[in-house]
Amino acid sequence: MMYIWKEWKEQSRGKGIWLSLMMLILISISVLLQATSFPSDQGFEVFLLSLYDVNVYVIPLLTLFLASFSIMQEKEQKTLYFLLTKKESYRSFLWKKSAAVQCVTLSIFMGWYFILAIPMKFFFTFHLGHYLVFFVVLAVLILIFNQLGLFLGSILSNRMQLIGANIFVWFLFIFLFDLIALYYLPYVTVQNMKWFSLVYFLNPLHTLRFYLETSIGMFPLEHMSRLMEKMVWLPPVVFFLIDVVLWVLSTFLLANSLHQKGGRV
Amino acid sequence: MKKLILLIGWLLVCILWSPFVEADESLQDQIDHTPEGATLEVGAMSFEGNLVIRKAIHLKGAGPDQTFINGDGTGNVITIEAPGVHLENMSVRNSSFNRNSSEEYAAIKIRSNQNIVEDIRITDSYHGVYLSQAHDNVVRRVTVTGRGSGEIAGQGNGIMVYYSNKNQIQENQISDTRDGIFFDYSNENEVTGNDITQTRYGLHYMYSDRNRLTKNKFHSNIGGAAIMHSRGTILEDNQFSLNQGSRAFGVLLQSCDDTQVTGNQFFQNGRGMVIDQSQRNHIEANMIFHNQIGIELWASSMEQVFARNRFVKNTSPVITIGGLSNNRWSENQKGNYWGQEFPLADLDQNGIGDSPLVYESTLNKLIEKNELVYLFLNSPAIDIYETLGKFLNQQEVMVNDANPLLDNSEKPSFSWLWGIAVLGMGGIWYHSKRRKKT
Repeated sequence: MMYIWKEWKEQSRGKGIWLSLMMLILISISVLLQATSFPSDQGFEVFLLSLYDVNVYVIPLLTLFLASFSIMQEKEQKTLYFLLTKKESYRSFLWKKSAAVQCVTLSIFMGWYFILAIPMKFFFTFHLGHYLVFFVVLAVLILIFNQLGLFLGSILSNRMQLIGANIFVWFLFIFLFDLIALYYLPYVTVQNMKWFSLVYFLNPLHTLRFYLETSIGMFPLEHMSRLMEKMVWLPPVVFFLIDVVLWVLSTFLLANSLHQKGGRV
Repeated sequence: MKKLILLIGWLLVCILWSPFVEADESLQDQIDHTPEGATLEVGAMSFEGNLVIRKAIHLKGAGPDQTFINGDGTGNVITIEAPGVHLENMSVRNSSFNRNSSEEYAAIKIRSNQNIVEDIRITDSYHGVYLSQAHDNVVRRVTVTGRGSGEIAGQGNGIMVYYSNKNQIQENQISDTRDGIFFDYSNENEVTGNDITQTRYGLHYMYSDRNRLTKNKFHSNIGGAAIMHSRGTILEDNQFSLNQGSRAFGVLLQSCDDTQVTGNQFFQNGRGMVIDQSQRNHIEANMIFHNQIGIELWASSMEQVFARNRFVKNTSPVITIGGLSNNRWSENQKGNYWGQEFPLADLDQNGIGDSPLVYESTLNKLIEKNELVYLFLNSPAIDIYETLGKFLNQQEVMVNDANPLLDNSEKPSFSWLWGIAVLGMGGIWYHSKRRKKT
């Protein structure tokens, strides 16, 4: 609890989280205004998907920076040094720090998406179930990239490295991963499809979108081709859960085991 | 004690009472005894099918929520054998689902001409309404609900039109069936104001000529309208939206000639239109926006004319596969509007670009090789892939519009919100600087 309170004080005094929130608010309103002009009875689902598509650019970058700089601040201000000498292991520190960062960023960002439900109700035919799926997907997006940020903050030792690493990870997930996949695509066959599918769904941005669009009825899983059936060999919710567990757990464990390499205090 | 008994009695009445508990088995007799041309009004009751109507009568129920015709699950629930029957205001349910039979069963099977079927609700039936060699009929305001997506393959179509001509299919609502409306060897029918959703193909045409479709909505299907091996079809003012999924489309024209596609909206589809092995189709003044691919045009299709269409914010407006054919992208000096993604100069302000619009892409090669490319069309990496293709000189010409249209009244897409965002951030920066100074 102490960690959460400390994190809240640090984040709320800084400008990063408020600027991030402002960006998310403006983006949401902009997408909302565009979506109201769509000529469809299902404008709500289109809005949710459009908002997710825009957020994919912004949320990973913001959360990577917020979470990684939160750890870096502990290193720069030597508070990490004091905390670790008080019989606290790095694992324990990382666990509490992760919980604190997740609580603060999730409550602020998801608070906005909770408020956003009010204008959604006025502008569209509101489907609570679809909204909840969207809410969970965004929360998981924040969760995974926060944890990635905490991992980067743990293993790197100065701000310049951290800025470079954050931008690279963002670029990797948003562009590079898909670019490589697009060039590899002509060599994908029914025989090696499962491997391709595994790699494709390991990218949380793919899995979260696929789960979202199948859950809100924007991507029917019926009448798929043989190739697509091979591609989607597990229910989308299972891919979703695998990604959550894999990314959160692996980045936590790696941060714990690799932190000394870059995180000297 | 008396009050308690009264209360229990009242509760029992509430629980057991139903407005249509009685099953009247004599409806077939009543139909048979109704004189030709007379009206037989049935009340808020549940009747047992299966019924056969052999004379021109008007069978009128009290409403779809009150009058129910229940089939016994062995055949068609209502079969209309005589011409001039008028059927309205009731629910029809429970036809046979037997697929081993020589006959395909339906809630309402029409085998004659000049009938009217309207304000009917159909559930639990293989086909909804089946027009079998039936002409000049009207099917209006019929709601057909299938068994849902898990059962699409095991059920029939909302409305089946088989060797039937000059029928009017108006304002029906169809969902969760295999195909919404299926046309097989049926000509000169009019399909107007229908709303079809959650099916495989909203509309499925085979070997049917000179049919006219206007003001229909096809949304959230695998394919909006699959029109195959047909001629002279008119598609006007329809809406094809949210047809998403693996290889989904708004309209598929396959082996179709002389089709007029005018004034339709294609919105948020996997592919707005797919044209394959089709000749001389005229695609004009359609709104094609927010699709992954606006038009997918196969080289086997020739002599298409595309004019005055508006392409806005599609991932790719047009993909031609297998090379360019002799399709035309402008008519009477008027091309198409390509949106702000393709900036063009119009120095003489005549609303037509000063230079031709040539759109090039590399996506066609990917689509030819692997259908999974559709999974990546929403990816931000697509733009980089296209830029790299341009840089490496791998792009091919998809469109050459000699007279691209411009909308000079449109402002540049600088959202006022972004202006506020920049101002807000500037304000915070200024405020923090001032605080530091003080």
